[in-house]
Amino acid sequence: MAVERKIVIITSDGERFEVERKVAEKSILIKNMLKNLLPVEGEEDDDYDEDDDEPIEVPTQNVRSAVMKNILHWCEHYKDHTFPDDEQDDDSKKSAPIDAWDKNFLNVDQEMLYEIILASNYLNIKPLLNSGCKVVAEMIRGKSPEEIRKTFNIVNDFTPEEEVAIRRENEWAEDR
Amino acid sequence: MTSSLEELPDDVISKIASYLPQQGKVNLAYCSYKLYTLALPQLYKRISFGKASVLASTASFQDSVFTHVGYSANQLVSEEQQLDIFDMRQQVLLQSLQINIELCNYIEEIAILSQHDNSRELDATKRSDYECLYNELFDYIQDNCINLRFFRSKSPTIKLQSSSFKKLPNLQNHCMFDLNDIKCLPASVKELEIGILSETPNIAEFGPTNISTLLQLDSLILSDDERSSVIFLDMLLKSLTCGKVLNIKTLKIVHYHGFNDYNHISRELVKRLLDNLNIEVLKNLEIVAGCDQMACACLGEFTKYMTTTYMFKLRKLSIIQKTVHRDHNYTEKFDVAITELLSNMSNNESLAYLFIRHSPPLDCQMGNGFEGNYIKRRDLYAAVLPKLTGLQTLVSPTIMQSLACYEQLVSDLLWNGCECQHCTDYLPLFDHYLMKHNYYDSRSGLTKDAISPVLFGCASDMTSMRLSCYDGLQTLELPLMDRNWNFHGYFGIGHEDDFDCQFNQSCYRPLVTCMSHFLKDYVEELGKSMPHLSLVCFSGVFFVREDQGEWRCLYD
Repeated sequence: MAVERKIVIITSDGERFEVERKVAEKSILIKNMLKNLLPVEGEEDDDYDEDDDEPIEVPTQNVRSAVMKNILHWCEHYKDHTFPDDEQDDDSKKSAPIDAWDKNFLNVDQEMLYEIILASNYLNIKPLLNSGCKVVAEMIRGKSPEEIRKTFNIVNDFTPEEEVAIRRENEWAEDR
Repeated sequence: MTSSLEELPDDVISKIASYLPQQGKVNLAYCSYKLYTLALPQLYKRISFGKASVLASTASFQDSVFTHVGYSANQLVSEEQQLDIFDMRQQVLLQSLQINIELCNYIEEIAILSQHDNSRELDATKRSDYECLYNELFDYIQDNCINLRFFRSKSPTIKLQSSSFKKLPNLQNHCMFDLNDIKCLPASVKELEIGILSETPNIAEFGPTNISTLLQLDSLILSDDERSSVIFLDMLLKSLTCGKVLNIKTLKIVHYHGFNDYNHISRELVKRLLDNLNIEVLKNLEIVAGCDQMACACLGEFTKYMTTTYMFKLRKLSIIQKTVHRDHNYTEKFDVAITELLSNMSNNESLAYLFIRHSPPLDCQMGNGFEGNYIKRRDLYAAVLPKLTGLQTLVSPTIMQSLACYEQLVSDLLWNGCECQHCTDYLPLFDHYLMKHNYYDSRSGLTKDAISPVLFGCASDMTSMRLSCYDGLQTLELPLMDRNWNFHGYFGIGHEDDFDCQFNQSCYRPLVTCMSHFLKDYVEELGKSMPHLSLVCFSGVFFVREDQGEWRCLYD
């Protein structure tokens, strides 16, 4: 019986993470990459190569090791979980509460949260990206513009006239 | 390293904005110019209109899907002032769209939300849902919002004009009130709903060339109005040339047998329509069903025909009862037929979504409302629903009203209900309410002392109206409306002049919480035998299953 080849993910700072294929394939980017490099288990591989025992190396230039460790922790947790296709139930998925495990997993400092979001965006891990964005949305929810600026280091670049104009423009949507 | 929200990629910020409720989107837009440019398209993307405010929740993101134009969230604002606020919001939106034409490009979906039907208006002198809409605004949107994809309205007054079709290259749905619209329906339209057709057209004018768009439809929603459905189906089936089949994914059909059997024409046309469908492709089905002849077996025959003739592979199923009777026996007959349908359908494992709406009498005064009859119906569903092994979502907007029809059951809830602190504190207050109030019983023509079915029937009718659209397949995709009841009205519910009544909207949510505790027992019981069930909506009260298998009520 063929032994499944290991995948080694190499981060931007050179750290190597050896993972199972199904863990790595939670990233659609890596999944598509592997599709070309490795035949799916069960399929015939006619071109036997001496290098077939070597692990496959996947470089990820945009993700540093501390972030990758978290990402792989998430992928490991969901390795046996099948996420529904994007087309199915888009609305119900969009409005669903954040999964309790994800919420706990994403309970990190703001910088790490942004990096997890960026990495999941780059690696194309949609369920993690969605949860990350929902966590940030929950942080914004219920805050005034001034509080949002303070929480997220945002500089107000509107002139007072502009501020009045945009408030008037969107007054109809204000929840009062 | 990323230290500020603004440093995230634009598409990620847009995604974050899409998860915000409307006030969150507005506040984000006010923070900086960059966030303004990213939050605004999300704020204007999907706009709903309706005479209520949105049901806000910190527990889900349901309130982030649409930006709602409607009432103030303050429940103690008078109806008159609420209508003024609604008017004003529509006018300001129109002005904003006129001043900054760029905003028009952001609008992709418009949804007009209405209460279920006008018979439920509490006061006949009030303006109807559609009369409160500002025609000029909708005309402007049709003329200028070129990216509009969906215009959801069941109103014959606020509708898409066929003259607008050319300006809307991305339009994907249309509710048709004039059959002639078919002749100019753009090829982009994939969802067609048949409204009440305004006039009877000359069917001979419609040939295969006119109906080319119909062959490409993904969704066909037939009208509850029999005449309109018959005209449309007659035209469609006559135009279908031999061997042509429709690849429809979403379909609504009606099977109704009224007092006079004039409905047999529409029932036959529906069967012929099904024969012309590629059943493999059909994923979402809504059936409006009913038979008002006690001795007739047509409903059972229809469900048997459906299960033995077609190999359905449905993902969503919606079943709606249609009857003019208020007696238990007619509803039991309906229940037997639909449970047969659910048991014998070929797709018990693949069905993920089930919506069942009954037609209990509004005053919950049902004939034969004995406890034994309730137990029969309860056991029927308890035996059949677990067969739907893949079911994830169960919606029944009328279950509490149906339960309220059995007086013993809801009186037990009131007097011996849940023993939690909330119910212990509040239920005696509602008992006091019953002692001090009376209602007009239309059947006897007398004013009588209020009873528990009236209290729970009215309260749950109001919560069920959180679901703004009465169609079963779409209802959870639209915003949930916040509804409040002032404990008066409906069937002339009132009290003696000398009673200083303190019951108003502020007492309503505590009553809904008591009802949610009562309904939770049913949800938990169902959850035990349905492992994949994760979302239940009973009469507008929502329950979700947490990771550990515990059920949590979302809003109450």
